[in-house]
Amino acid sequence: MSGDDEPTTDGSRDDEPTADRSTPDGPDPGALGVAGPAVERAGHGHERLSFTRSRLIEEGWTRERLLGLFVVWCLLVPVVLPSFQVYLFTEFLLLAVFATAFNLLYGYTGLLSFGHALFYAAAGYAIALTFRELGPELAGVLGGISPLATLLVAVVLGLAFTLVIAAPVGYLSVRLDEIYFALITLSFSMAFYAVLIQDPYGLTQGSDGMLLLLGTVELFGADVALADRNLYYYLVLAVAGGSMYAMWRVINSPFGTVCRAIRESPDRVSALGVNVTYHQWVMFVVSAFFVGIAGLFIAPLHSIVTPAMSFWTTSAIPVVAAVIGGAFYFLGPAVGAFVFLYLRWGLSRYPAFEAHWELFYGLVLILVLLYFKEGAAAGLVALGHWLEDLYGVYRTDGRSAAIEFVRSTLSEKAAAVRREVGRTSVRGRRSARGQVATAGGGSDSTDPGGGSDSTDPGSGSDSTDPTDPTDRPSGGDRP
Amino acid sequence: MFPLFVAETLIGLSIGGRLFLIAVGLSLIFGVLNVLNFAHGVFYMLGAYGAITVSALLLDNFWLGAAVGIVAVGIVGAIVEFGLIRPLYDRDEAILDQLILTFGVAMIVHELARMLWGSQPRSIPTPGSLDFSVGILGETITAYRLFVIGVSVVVLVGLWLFLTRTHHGHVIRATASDREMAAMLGVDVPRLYTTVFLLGSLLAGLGGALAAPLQAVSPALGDQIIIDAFVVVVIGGLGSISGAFVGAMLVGLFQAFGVQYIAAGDLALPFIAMILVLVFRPRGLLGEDEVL
Repeated sequence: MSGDDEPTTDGSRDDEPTADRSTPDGPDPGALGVAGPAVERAGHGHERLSFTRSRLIEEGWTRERLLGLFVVWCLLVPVVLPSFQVYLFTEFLLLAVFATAFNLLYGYTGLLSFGHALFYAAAGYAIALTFRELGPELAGVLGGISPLATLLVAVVLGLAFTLVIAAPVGYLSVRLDEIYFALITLSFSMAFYAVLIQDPYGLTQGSDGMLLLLGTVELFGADVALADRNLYYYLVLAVAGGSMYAMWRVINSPFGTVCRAIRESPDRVSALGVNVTYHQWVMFVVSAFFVGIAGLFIAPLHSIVTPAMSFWTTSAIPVVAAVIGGAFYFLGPAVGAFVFLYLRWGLSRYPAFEAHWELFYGLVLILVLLYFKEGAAAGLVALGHWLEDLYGVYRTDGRSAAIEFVRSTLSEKAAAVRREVGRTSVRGRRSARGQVATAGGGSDSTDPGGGSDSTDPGSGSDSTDPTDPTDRPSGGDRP
Repeated sequence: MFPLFVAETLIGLSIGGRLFLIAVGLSLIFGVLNVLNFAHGVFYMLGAYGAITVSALLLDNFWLGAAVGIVAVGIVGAIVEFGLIRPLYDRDEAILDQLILTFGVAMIVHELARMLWGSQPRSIPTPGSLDFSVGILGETITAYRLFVIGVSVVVLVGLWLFLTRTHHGHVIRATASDREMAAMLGVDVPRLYTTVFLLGSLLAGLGGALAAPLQAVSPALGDQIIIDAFVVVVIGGLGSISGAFVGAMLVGLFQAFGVQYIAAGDLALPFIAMILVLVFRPRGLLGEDEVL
């Protein structure tokens, strides 16, 4: 429908040409927290949707209720799921914090860090060292509740250590941009890795890593193991929930808004008198702080810290999660973390695939980058809108109309996918030549709507391209 | 007089030669295409495996095996550029998207290599024709190591002559400095990009194939070597070929001397050097706007 007469702005990658529009400020049951450009693209076609949506809200399906349902589910996890699943869900919560914190920089400030493992490992080693060095001494003073006290001290020390590292590292890093920023963060984390593995001061036990056992607390005569899966799960749930809420507040503060503007166009924001590098620096430190929280609590879960925590492949985890999940949504990286962990778990049930889960990540990563730049979260939002539409049609026109709606939208979708695959395979050929037109048209990197919008880049060349993409034989004019 | 220095210098230059062969392709691709190719390390690893497999199983000749391996890597590189990287050139954040995309390619190739060859490290003996020792200033070094140093110098000079003295070289440099203008003047930029990517991948394959007799080869080799290559190209200057040579030799000497004179922490030295370069001279020691 709309995709045909408007191939330029309407998104080569929009999943649902009609239903993919979100209202910027209305309550959104999808609740995935749209970040910048997706909001700006919200436009035609949401009149009908907002009708359905207001209907749903009248019936009580508000964002708060959905969030409440999720919280209830989280609280019930240890009750309804087997022990291993509780472990996996705990890991998911921490990985979600890790990826979301990374995305404060990537999705919300426009800086791709390839070295966030540094803060993850720094906090993990801090807690392990605290338990090894201070644990016995505190036990002598405090007796039964010493593990709890040690944990508190470790959290404070770990976060302080993370901040002490993050401030200078961030200060030096944010002065560089794009690829150079990625490379300097990478080298900081690799330098830390080298120090950990060579262990020049005999602190970290080199490549063996350090064991970390939380111990048992004596409270009111009862022994409570801090590392008990269910107890630890609730601890992590509280920490992760608090962290996510804090990051949500950061992003929606005036400070976060400025950072989003910086992502769209550093030059313009700078021209408005904003100190761009200062904002980037502060966001870097905030991001590192929350990565530190994830590192602090993942270490006791794994019961061990190793230098691999700081190796660049660990830094790649939040990158993969953010890209797969969708970096332009607040919850995108969390969705990506979920996919990351549960895809691996699902594959582990098939021995043939188990050892090769990276292969699937690589494939998913490439597919997402090529065809679904907005990630899984965008897919979920589109699915939510589609279900809303379906519900609206069902309520007004009955069941047969709903079935017809399903059939027509699905075939439309299939056509859009075919068109998109055809376009992508020929776009490269046009790209370098079309670049001339792009430069001439002035719709370059300063395009306000397209700062990091995946759907936009085609527009520069498309707008001067008379051929309708639908007429193009798919892949026909490959060289 | 200083026998220790001679020995370490020779080892350093030998490591540097290997590093240059991996870094030069990375730098060439970045200089022309503006793509930082994370998959370059796995191409190197593929080159090594190609040389080992073909020479061990099929041809029983290291040189032929290496040649087949190098060509195979070049073809893989060209396919990756044509099929995956090309659609992303005109995105706003092309450079970051391409970095992440090539990282995905690296993951896939890494796993495929594990499926094909297993996780066990492999090695092959030094080719017989070069398996003898040469004495230099009282120190001995295997002729094969000298050969690798020689190849790196030949590649440096060859690329320099190609880029400065031939028509195709001029076109490549023109496209690197202004691709819109080159396209307007009739250069088939997409084809040139694929060709340069192919050339860079061939160089990665060459480095891997020649390194196969010098080190244990495992699927994780790509993950390690790509970081070394990043260090080298950043120190020398991203996109600069002579910079890659200087960077490679410096890092090679760092590693050779660091082992001897720094009790612990020599592993961190290259990264600290990389940080210092990025902070004080982000374009690298020899980095300019030109490809050379």
